[in-house]
Amino acid sequence: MTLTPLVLVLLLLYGVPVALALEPRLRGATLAGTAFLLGAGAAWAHLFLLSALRVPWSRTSVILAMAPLFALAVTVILSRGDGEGPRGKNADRSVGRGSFAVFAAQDDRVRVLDAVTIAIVVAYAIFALWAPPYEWDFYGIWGLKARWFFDTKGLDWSTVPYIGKADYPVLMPLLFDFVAVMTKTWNDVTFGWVYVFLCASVLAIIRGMFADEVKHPALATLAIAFPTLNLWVGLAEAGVMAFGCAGLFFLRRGSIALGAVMLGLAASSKNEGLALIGVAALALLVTTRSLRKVLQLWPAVAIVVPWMIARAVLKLSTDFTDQSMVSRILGRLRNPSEVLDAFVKAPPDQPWFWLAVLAAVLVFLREAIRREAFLLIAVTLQLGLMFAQALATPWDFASHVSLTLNRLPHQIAPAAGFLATVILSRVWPAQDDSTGS
Amino acid sequence: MMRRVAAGLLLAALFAGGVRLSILRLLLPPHRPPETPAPPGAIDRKPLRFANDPVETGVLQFLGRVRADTRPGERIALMMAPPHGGWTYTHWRASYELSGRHVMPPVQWETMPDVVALWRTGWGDPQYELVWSDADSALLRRKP
Repeated sequence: MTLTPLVLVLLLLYGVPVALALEPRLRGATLAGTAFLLGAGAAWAHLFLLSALRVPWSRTSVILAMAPLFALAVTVILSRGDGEGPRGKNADRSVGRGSFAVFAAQDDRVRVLDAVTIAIVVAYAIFALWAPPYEWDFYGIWGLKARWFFDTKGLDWSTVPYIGKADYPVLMPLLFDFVAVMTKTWNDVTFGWVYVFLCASVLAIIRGMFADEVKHPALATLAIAFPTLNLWVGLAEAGVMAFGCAGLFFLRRGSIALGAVMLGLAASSKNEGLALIGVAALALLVTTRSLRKVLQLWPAVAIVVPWMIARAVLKLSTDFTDQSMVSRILGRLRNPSEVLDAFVKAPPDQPWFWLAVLAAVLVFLREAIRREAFLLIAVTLQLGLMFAQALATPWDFASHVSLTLNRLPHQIAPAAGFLATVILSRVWPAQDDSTGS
Repeated sequence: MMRRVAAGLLLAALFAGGVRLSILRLLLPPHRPPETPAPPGAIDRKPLRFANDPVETGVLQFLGRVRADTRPGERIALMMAPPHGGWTYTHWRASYELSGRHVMPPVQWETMPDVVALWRTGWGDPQYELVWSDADSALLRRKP
């Protein structure tokens, strides 16, 4: 019996006022998903802060450290007299009515579709929990850092530079540590729960947003349920995916502060999240033509700055951006057949899903550009960067492509699936069909 | 009409393209992926947890015993017979299992280790004394 799911539920509850303080219009499934992601982000931030202050991690020190933010968020919500609170005059303009409300009000078909989605999440939970996360990079990077920090009751700054991929940010290891500190035990099998909650949170956010936008939200959610469940348990892909895609979804809806916080957390999960901040800023600039909106993304940068400072102080360099990076890229571009050959031989995981996304966008390109330009630009650029980064690898190009480009696109798969589904869902139902929600 | 048909078909394709039967069948007993040997060198494009643990139980028990008999901060040299020796998956697994200790790189030692842990291989040095040994493994500690 493990306490890990209970700890993660408490993290979700902790995140509810934080989420409502940032975006008062959140409701239902969207609120639940957002609350967990923000709770997880808060757990990381406070463990990092305690380490920076040289306070050893313990259940007591972590709870005491996290209490002020919770109190502040509750105070912000209670002090809101502007009609933006849960019962305020603007409460009907909610972001994501979500599946909880839908369950109560909709017909059996909707319930069955939601039940199938939940069954898929249960199957994923079985997969995530049947064994320890024994991916190579869990032992070489993410789990190794987490266990070392757990042993030393904090980030061991003297050791950080010597652990594999020292420049990688530490949100995921610290999330493992949060679970271990709160349960007072190191049980890596239970870390699968972290992945279940991360993936289910994105799915909940998607479900809630679809409820506001498409005729058949349960069906639309089911269509992209599998690509939202990240299979690389123990790695940081699920973190970038959950925070990054949630960030893009909220920016798309105009919740810039919340979207920016999510992007900051994505950048604190893995370096691809840093690129996503730039990509989102560019997409926002192109679609809104407002520099002011772009500057409102400052929380994303503010969240990742402490780690960037730590990286600079500890001189944690990345193996991609050394002095010979440019010559590596140019050398590979001079041999395009080798590059293309490697890409063709190593398609991304779920290639038929990606082909369906591509076909949906191309067939309904006008709708995509007219109504989903932000997501279209962001997803396209981020995918392009994932392929482009392979050109800079110091390792054997074909091997690097083979071993990374199957899983990296998963970081953006829910956003790509959302893009395709929302375009298709606006076209597909017959005009007189009103059985959806 | 054509647009609606195309959208419906693409939505179906989107779902079908994403379906993972390997995950769905976990809903049925025995609730774990089928027994599959780990890929050579534990290197695969698929997630490793679709296959068996790449490291056998005996090695994990050995590493657990080494952890129990060493102290945080100690330098540990692991000498393991193939396929576990060198810069292999097992080296990183050992670094994790022995966290808090410094698992020395599997190359020529620049400094002498505090502890030498052996798995199915032999080694001896008069500066080290035997802590324990069994049929597969041994632990030696540098004399004070």
